Amino acid sequence: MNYIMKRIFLLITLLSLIAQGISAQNGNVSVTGRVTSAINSEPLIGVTVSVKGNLTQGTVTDIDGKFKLSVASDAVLSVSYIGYKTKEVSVNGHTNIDIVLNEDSELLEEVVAVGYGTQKKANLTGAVTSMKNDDLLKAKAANSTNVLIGRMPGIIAKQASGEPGADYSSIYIRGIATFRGDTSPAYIIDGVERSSSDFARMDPNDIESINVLKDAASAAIFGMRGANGVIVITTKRGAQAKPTIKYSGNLSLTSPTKLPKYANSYDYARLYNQFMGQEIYSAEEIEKFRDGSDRESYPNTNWYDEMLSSYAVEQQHNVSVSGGSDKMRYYVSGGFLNQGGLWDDINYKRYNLRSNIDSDITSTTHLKVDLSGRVEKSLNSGSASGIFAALMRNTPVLLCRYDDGRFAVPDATHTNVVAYNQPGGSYGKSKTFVGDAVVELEQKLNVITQGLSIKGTMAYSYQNGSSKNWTVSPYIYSKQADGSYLLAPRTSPSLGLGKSNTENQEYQLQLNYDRSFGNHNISAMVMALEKKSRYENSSMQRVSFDSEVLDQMDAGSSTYQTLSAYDTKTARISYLGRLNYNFANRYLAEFNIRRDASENFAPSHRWGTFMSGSLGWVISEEKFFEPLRQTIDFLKIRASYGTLGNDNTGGVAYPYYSRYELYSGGTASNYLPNNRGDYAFGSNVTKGLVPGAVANELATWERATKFNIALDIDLWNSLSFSIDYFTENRSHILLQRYDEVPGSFGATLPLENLGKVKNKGVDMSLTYHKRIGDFDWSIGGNFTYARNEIVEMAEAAGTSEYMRKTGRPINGYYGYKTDGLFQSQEEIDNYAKQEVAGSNYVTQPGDIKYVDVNGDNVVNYDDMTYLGNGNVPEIVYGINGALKWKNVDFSFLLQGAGRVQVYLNGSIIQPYFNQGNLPQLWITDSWSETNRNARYPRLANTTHNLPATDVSCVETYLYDASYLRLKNIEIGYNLPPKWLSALNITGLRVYVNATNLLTFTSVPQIDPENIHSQGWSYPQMKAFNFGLTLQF
Amino acid sequence: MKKIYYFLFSILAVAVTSCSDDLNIKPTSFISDATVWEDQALINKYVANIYGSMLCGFNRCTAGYGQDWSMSWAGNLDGGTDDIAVVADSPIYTQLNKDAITAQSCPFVNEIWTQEYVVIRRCNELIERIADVSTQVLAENVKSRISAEAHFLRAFCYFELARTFGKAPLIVEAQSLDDNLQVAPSSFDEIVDFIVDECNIYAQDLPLTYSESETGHATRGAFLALKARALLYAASPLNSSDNSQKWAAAAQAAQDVINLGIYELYNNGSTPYYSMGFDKTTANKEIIFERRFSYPEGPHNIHMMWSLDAYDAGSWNGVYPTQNLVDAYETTDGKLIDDPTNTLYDPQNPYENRDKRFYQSLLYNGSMWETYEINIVTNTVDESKNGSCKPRLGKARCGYGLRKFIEELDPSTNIYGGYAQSNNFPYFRYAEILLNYAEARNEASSTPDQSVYDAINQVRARAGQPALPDGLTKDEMRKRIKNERRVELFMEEHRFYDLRRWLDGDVLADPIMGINCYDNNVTRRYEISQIEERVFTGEHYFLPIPLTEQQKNSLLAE
Repeated sequence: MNYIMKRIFLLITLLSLIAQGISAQNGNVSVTGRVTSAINSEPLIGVTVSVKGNLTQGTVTDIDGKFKLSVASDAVLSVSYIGYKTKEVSVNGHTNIDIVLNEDSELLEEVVAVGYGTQKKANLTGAVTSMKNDDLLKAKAANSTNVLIGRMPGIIAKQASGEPGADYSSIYIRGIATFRGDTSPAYIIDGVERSSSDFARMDPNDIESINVLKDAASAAIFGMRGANGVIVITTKRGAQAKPTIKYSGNLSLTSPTKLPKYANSYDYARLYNQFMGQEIYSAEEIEKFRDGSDRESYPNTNWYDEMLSSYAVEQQHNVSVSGGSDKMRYYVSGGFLNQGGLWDDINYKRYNLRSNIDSDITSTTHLKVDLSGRVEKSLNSGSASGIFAALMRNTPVLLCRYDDGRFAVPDATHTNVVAYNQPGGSYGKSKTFVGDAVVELEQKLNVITQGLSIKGTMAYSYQNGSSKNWTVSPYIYSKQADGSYLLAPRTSPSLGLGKSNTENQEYQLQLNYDRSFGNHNISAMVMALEKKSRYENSSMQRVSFDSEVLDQMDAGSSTYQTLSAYDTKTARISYLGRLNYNFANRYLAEFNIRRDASENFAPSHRWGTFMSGSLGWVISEEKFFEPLRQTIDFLKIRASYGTLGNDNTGGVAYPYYSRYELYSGGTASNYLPNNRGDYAFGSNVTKGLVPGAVANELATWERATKFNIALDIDLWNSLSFSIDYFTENRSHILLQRYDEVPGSFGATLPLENLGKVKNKGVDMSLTYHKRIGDFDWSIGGNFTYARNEIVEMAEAAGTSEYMRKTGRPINGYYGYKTDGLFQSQEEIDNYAKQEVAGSNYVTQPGDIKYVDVNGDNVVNYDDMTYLGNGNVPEIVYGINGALKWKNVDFSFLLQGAGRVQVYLNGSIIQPYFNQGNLPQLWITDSWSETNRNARYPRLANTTHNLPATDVSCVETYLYDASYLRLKNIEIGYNLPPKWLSALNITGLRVYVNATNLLTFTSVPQIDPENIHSQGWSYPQMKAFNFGLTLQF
Repeated sequence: MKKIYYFLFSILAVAVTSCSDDLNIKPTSFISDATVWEDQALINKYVANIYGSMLCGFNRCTAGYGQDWSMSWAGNLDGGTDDIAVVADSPIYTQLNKDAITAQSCPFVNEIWTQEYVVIRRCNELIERIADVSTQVLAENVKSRISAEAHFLRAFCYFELARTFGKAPLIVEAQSLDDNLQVAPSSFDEIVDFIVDECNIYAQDLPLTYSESETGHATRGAFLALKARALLYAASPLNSSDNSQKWAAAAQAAQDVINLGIYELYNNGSTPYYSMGFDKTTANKEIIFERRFSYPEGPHNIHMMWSLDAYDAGSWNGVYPTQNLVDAYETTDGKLIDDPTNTLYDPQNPYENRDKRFYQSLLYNGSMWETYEINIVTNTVDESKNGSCKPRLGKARCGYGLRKFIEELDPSTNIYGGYAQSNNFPYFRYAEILLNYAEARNEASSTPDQSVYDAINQVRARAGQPALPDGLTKDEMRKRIKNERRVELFMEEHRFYDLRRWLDGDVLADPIMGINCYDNNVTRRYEISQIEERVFTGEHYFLPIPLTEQQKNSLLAE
């Protein structure tokens, strides 16, 4: 590799040598003038008026739209204003120039970032969706993945948790089309592939635009990384203008959208007797729970109230400076985020820094140096899922604190989760440092031929993570008969430290050709790319400490300490090319090719070639279309077809290699270590060597063949509509034939390129924008539908038709169909025999009625069947609106999802589950002789005509997780410039905003986006945001 | 200028055509196939992995199951017997104890099927590969020893499959995916014949003992003990109608182990029965073969999952020994408590004068555990005097806790990181061999001979119990042997299979009883009540082969 690196350095050095600066001056005149809007002839305030080619010479218009500038008499003025088309005016010796700016209503001149380049939106032939900075800042999201929710067609985003620092959305572009490995898209930030967390943890203020490449034509240039779609992020850059300093600050008060509700102690105890079918609590005891006369012995503890505060505070600040001269432009920004949580010791802080520098070293040489980095610090007293699991299992009859404030021992099988998570006790801290550097040098090679240029890019990133987990026992007491308190035994503290670092290098060399010959416009690009990364990890733990004061590894005993460390490397090489041709911006064509190699596959199957082609026809540019121009401003049809790859082996590296692996330790499903691979002969442990998966030399890429056809239309200068229909066929999906090969084979099965999935759907967007006098309003919406179907996954021949996954969606729910509850013995007698809970179970009225799917008059495991497509929605949509009137602006976003389910089990929904709590809904909605229309069965321990094994789902607890929510609503006010000009402030906007304010759904207990079936996750949050942006 | 551009293009050309070598990364997480069999240390690691992959009563069913809570005590098949009650709504045990098991999914059963075959394949591979290892890497005698270990471990796994499912495909080579994988199952007897043949051929290649640092490798005694157990099962009612020849063969096989003369019952310390479970040195001559554990690399978690913890210290406490079990402990005069001549048993003072193994196996009202007293008393007058282990509070559901195999730990030292333990699980120990002998010999004869008495009395003597009275009939002796196995081999996963091979389905259908102690400040009263109903219809003396396996191999379907 050093080859490419050294040569690129050399290239840059050489190009620097030929760099020269030229500038010239001439005789000056003083020019005055006024800038007005073409729409209403109102003066425009704050318009940048500068001299073309020399931005240091410039000014902005005052409140009357006037400006004054001293320029060379032959200068050309560049007049630019947001939302208007930039205009260039020659001075030609005039001293008074009035300028009228036209609104940039049609964004057809808009340029979008595509793979390794940009393109005019009007000339796009692929399926690309864009979002600009203004829109994404409205989301007020601490995590950038959340800005995508509901705002772009073709993107299915689902945010399952609101935990500080872990509030990611899962992103699926046009749904899911593979059942192996990662289904998330590739993220390209300023031309370099980054991880999803690099995107998630960006400061949204730094993002200029997000473009989503959805079809083969636009994503094929990313070859093996493009199959799941690509998200291209462009950061802000400096413009040739006076320095602009911008501050934005936001303060949020957040609280859960929904917390599960559980019975109080009176109901809990009263109904527990019914549940158990015997008197566990006497009438007097139940009465004491009700009247609260003896709080310590008969408490009514709401564990959620004990543990969680009612709201959390979050703040986000960003300061940026941008500007530049004709030779040099800069954008420098610093951001800070502080996310508080629902208890004291949970917090996430993030510091972002970015510096994007552009320099025109010579008239033909352009240098870009982008440095960015972030520091993240998170703190938690325990694991959020563990805390929420305990909160929902602890019952109201258990005491949390004695009257004097001491923490109580609830009982032997329930932990005092509140005591365990007090500040000053156990903690888990982690710190991440990420530094990214990108150097890019572009040289125009017009000397060779007009329109030719060469570009070299080097990207380096270093990521360092460390974690420290200190565990100490809390002080919890049990009260003795004599009134004294007995301290529960406390275990000695333990400490774990972890360190990891990742280093990524990427080198790109790109040759571009861009030229027009009359109506023939050609642009072409070829590129070579190489990527290497290295990962190191180490961790250590000591479990025995004498003192709780010294949380230092050195203070622990080395007896029973554990150490672990390893490192890995990966590499990839790719060559790619693109050819664009259009005739008179009317007939468009594009062709992409990429060749990729990954170390994951055998040398003979290492290389994959991916191609795509696309065509577009801008009908509105045709002569015959002239008469329609009055109504139809723009009409284009476009289509694309191509193949992309996916090298994601789902964590199995080098599937072609016949090998043995060092046993890496196992974890049981109860989260405790479960070693099934090392062994102690004598007293020393011998590390085990496990036979690896059977090797498959033929393993290679997964392939995605995508087709897209679309229509873009703009009407009446105000409405734009776009619709895409897409299909996708995935083949060669790497799968292990566990469903087919008998378990008696005994080995880990090889990855084989056997799986097939098809996926199709439609996405569309509609925007209507109008300006009437002072009112500027818009309304729009987007809609996405995507449905996948497994075509081939090597299922066992004997699989029943009902359970067969082939022909059904990837994440489908399977289990028992139900048809309400049995109302009478007669109904039971006349219905198929219920053997779901075993052949001996005696069904009673009030039990779940399982449907005899196969019609053999017995309901047992043979009747399990497909129940629904799963917890990734097939439909998502957003409806947004905005209104501007003078200095006030208002916007909203409604967002929803459909054709999605969630299955709930465990304490979140089941009564007294595992000695746990009683969900409130059982009090009103469980079956009894007097409550026959209930959804849930009779409240009895034997209710559990649930399946004898709980691995399958029961339709009664499968909920339609469709939802509609008021995702975002915002009112802002721009302070009039005349108030601010004295302070040299050019803009000040204040706003109030709310996110997730209202949610409509039929899912009980949890937020509909939550995907943990037992509800063990930090809740999704709603927020009230207050903030301002200030510009100097 | 032109030269510079010429140069630039040559760079581009170099960049585009260079460095595919970078893709040939040397993997860091594994070792290539060929390397392993050329290196003694690596072969030893492979062997260690096979031993470490074995299932036992301390580590079952911890590898992934839908709902974590039911793992609050996973691990031991005896939860599917009348010795133990578990958390009332644990699906795994409901399937077993309510006879609700189906082929569709019982995690215990699925795991036995898949994991035993994982070990079997690794053994097959070891047997095949070790033969080709150069003698410069391993001496011929070491090669044959390692090969014999693999033969033993494979036979062990096949016995686990046979006693669980009654049949299983007998695969003795490392299959390739091109082979016919639809192998017809062999019958129980065919598998036992296979085990006996393997033992007869390969046991001699194993040493009788190992040096301290190699302890844990299979010995000749282990192979012979496996054969003895297999023949005992083969002669048992489930697998054979009364056949004295089979019983005699089983007795002889047990006698062969006894005749090795190297095993003896552990008798160190004041509580040898309890301590035997923790002495991991070669001083413990009772152990014939065990699943070894170690801390911190390879512990098990039964402390956390099984111990009766009076404080909120994190134990999950899901194991509830039953009154049914407690009633099986004799009084110190050697009489069963239902014996009308028993004068030592007082139902209102039930924990006096019992078999020492009772005190060393269980926690009961008034016993001490770590630093606190087990108190299940319900005070009918003053609730503040209720015991901390009141059954209602989810502890001691039947009024008892487990002591056997649970180490008393000082929590303040945080040894084992809290709640892990590293005592070994005994697969074969001498007491079992003696009881196997006693049972087989008794069944092979018309009346029990002195050798039957000698064998069982040896086991009883260690517990301080008097010898069995002379003159027992074959049936009376059978009853005493069954009871002795229950008490002596408690929690060692014998009862689950014993009740099945004896066709004692009625015992599996007995309701589970528990005890309460009521105190009105004047008198104390023990009251036994029913805790849970059990169902056993007789359908599942053998457990169903997992449905998914039946679907993948149609020859497995009945």
